[in-house]
Amino acid sequence: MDDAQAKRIVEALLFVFGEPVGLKRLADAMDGCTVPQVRQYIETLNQEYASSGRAFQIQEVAGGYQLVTDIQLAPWIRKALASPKPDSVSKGALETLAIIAYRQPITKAEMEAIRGVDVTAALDTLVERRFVRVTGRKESAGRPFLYGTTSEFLHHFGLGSLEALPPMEHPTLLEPTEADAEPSTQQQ
Amino acid sequence: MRYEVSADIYEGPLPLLVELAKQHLIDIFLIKLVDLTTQYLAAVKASGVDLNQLAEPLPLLGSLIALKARSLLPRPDQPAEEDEVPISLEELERRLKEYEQFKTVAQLLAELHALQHQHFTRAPGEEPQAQPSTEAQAGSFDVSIAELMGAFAKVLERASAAVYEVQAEPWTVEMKVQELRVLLTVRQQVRLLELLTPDKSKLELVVTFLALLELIRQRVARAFQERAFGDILVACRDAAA
Repeated sequence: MDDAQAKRIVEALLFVFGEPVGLKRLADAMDGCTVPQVRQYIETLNQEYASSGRAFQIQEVAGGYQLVTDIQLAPWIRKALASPKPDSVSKGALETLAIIAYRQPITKAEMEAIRGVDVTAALDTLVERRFVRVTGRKESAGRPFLYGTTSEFLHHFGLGSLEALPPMEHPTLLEPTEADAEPSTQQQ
Repeated sequence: MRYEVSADIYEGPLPLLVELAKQHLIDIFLIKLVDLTTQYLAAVKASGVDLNQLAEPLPLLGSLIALKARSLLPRPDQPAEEDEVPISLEELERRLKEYEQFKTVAQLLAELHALQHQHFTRAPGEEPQAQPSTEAQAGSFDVSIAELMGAFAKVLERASAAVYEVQAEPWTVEMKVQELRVLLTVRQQVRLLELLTPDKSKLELVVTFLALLELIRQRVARAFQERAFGDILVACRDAAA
């Protein structure tokens, strides 16, 4: 299979799937294709879309790739789908989400220490919308739940991975109360 | 009318005195409360008309007394209160700064969210068929109890079969076949309408009729008319033969 054909297959597969597909899965579907090759095809496709002004682009999101429409077409699509404006996330929930995203895994008490207010409602919203979930329990008094973000979160915020989070300008000092400092890879 | 007081170091409206004392701008120990109270008593005795006006200074005087009483007490409370708030100014500043940063990234996240929702994909759930094996390789993760509960709730929502009671069948074809056999042995010949009387339930009528057909099929019974338009009769085949 030549490159042109392989590229077409990648395009077709991305068209068929409604959600992000991993490179590995794409490569597996195409005999004799490696992951770097698939990534190359995706890049080429994206360049072609951009240069020829097509309606699509391939987006890296939540550890996979998906075919999405161009942002400029949103008004028409929304009208045709009769879909209301995207449900927004409240400020409190967003702040809580940001804290979880950058500090995960983190307990509710630790979030509240940062925000200075009760986060029960915000946390409930986030769990309900599947942006965060319980990832474990902290081995401290009371064994409180630890929360972390989900791939749904990456999906809804257009992030390829946690590394793609916007960097916090100044890396914050660690909580003095935080006995077990988290391997905060997501901050780099 | 303002209630004015005069003490050694203060002369003026009472509310101002209370406010000054609260702000520690005036030393409460230099105010003789007894002066104030005697003045008040004198005022009460003098006028004694407008209760409202007389009552007005009372809470203020009371709070002055409370203030003084509290400052008279030794202060073991003070260090305890400080224990509750061990945050140093630097720590407070650091926390505020940290929170500010989170507020900033929260704003960024809001923008990302809005942006991402300008992109449309094919409707989710149109994935041809999930391949669990490859899915697992792509990085599986454990499902939390909340997600399990959520999934189960969805299944329950979709469950469409109505709940109904299973009832024991009151009549079966076998039962009716037996009955008819006995009846035909005894009576040799029965009118069809005798078998299928209207007082029976529809179900019993159906079952009886099926039993009759079964007997006819087995050539145990036969149905016949003696004349055109006459009653249909059921008879035992042996007897008829």
